[in-house]
Amino acid sequence: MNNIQQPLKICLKCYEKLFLRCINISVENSKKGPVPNVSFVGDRARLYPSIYCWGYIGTGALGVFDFVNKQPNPKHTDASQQTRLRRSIPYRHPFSYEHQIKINRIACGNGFTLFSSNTLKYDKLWGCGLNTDSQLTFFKDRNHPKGFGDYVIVPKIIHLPIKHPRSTRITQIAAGRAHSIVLTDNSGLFSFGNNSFGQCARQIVSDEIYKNSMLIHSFNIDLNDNDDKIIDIICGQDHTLFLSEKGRVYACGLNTDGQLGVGHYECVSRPERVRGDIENEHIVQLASKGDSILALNKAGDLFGWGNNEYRQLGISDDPVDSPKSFQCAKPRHLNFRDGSSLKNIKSIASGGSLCSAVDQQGKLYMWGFGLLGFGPKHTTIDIPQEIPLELFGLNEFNRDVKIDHVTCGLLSTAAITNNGELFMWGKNRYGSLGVEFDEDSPMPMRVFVPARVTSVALGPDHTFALCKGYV
Amino acid sequence: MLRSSAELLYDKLSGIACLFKPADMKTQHFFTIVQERLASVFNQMPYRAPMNRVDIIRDRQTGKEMVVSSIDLSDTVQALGPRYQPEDFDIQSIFPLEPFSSGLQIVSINDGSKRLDQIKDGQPLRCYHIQGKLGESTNTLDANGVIVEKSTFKHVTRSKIERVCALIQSSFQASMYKMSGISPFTQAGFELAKAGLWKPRDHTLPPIVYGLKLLNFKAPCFDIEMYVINEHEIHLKEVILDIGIRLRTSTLSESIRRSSIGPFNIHHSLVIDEITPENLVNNINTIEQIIEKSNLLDKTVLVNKTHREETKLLGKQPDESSVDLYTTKRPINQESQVYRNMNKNNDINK
Repeated sequence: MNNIQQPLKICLKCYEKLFLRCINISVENSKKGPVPNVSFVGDRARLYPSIYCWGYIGTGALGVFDFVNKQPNPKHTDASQQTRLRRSIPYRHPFSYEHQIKINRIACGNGFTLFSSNTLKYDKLWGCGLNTDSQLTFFKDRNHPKGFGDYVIVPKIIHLPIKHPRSTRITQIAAGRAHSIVLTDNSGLFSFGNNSFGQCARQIVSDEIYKNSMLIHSFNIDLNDNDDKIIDIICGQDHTLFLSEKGRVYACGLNTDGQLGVGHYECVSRPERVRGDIENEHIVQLASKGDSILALNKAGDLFGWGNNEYRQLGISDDPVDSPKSFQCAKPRHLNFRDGSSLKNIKSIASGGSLCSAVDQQGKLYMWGFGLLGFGPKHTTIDIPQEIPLELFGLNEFNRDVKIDHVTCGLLSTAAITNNGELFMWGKNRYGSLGVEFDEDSPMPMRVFVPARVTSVALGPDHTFALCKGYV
Repeated sequence: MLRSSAELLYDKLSGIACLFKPADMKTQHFFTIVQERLASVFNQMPYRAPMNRVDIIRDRQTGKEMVVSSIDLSDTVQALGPRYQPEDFDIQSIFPLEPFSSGLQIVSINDGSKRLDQIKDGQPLRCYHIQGKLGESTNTLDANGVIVEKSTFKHVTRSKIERVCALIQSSFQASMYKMSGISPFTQAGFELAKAGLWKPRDHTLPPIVYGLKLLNFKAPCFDIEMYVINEHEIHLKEVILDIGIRLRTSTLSESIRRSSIGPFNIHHSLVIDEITPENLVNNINTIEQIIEKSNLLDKTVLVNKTHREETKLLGKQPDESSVDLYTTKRPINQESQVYRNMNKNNDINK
């Protein structure tokens, strides 16, 4: 039997080999056919910006319809209902790619968000979140199923009363506690929302009702100089700062801690020029979130005014522990306790009580009060200290790590490295740090955004990041 | 009695050596080749002569007892076979390479000491040079498999690969803190994280990539240098696949070569043709000097050990004021936590 079978097998093998040689591909592929050549990237592929968001869902500030519209599950306990209101892992915002809008700027206020685009089209500005003080302007279609009461769940177009909308671009937006300011290139400024301290740069009307208010204030600041114009606006909680092209600073709003730097402690409703030490300096950057304000001049020196409770603005000639030394109504050059002062600064940020600065070499300095990123023990530091870059991924295999810029929220800080990685630390209110745990983070933790972060906007309980893809 | 030169050389041949394993060969096969080569060299040398057989014979005629010594026939080469068998050279290895990859391989030859385990506990960083190819991917993720996908790679540039490498490396680094048990919520955890790279001493943990660098790129081939611990061959191939997925093409790894293990470099290793007893003895001596110079237990962290034990192992003064580092709020993996609780129960029972 075997003797007959063996030659048969050999014959079969020979035929198989011959057959295979004819079609000239291997056995496994012969069943499926040749592998096609696929192209996953088109010829016109470009790096398109994408938006990522995380934080508190309840106010609708994230602008994602599916987050808010969920029906509460009766099986869940109260604790799990609470966690349902937070999104602590970065989520790609669908608004930009669903409507094919290129968003250029994002501003986060207390529970609301503003988006703006650089286009010359009619739709330039969108907003979502809390609308209790008409900080997103008045919306007619309140009966629309997507918007209810004082909350706007998905981003809606904000129509600004611009005279020539097809030749005007929005250059800057800013949002405070309950007011928002928009800067355009040739139609001046627009402000709407709460004006109880004059932060909208119009006259304070006592007993004004801000809810469902249809008022959008259009104004210009008289700069006494024809060549000059406003290039940047920064909103604190209840005050607004304006920066002009020639380095002059104007301010209006709440002034109880001297955060306007105008020399007195009374609210200002008409923008006033900030003087003091910065009168003859060319200011290029301002930073403010709470009531202590930092300013950076062209040469890289630091100035500050406002609240000085934790010596974050250095010391002055006033005696220590006198009430005058805790407030600083006039801008001054920052000199710290040991006589040192920061030099060659590139970028600054200040939160409620924490201050940070990045110098030209890409080193990050932190001082003030709060979770500063030096561990849970070191919470009050009155001399700027350098955060070790090892926490941002510097090691013997990766020598090239620098901090590009830094942004502060009220109680948290975000830093972006030259590789486009985002690090955050501080208070973790409703998962606004974007890390996977719910506890506060006393040292820089990496946020897993699957793209290169170009800029980040921090609200008190939610965060937005503008990113670019890798390919 | 004078000892033969083969016996003297055999006594010297014990210690830790570095060999270069060729590709497409199983590690065990490589070791048997080494053993056979060594045995054949030893058998050509003047080896031990057969022992004498001593008999005491009583002469029947005279009644006297005589001592007669003759060659013991049961000890001759003709009866026993060659004097040195391949099994006489005991080769043990750590971090064994899988068939597809080639490169540096640490072995111990006739060495009964536990130094090989000490090197393994120190978790030296392994450096791999991987050559990848864009545009194709196979079922085994390397060049030996069957092609399952083809795609275009015109859009890939050098800077894009570097960007993706930096992304993968930094995401592994964040996982390093988690695996090495450093808690971000304590001051002691901050002090540890400030010092840079740390290595968990547990071999069962998933792999950590410490460094990922693009060496050169000439489409469709690219070379990547990777520093990694706790790895298998499939993990390295998956990193190459991951780079391809993020670049929107398909990739495969053409060759994998291990170029260094901690302080041991590829220049210290012996190629398969160079392996002779004399070269091996020289190699063992140089490796001995390197081990003495370097601190093998540098920067490794024991997961789920107390702070005091950890500092004792690292040879530092324990920080009394610090909070216990390793009692974090969340256990890192559930198994090790259970194991720890069992130990506590045993103590109570005693």
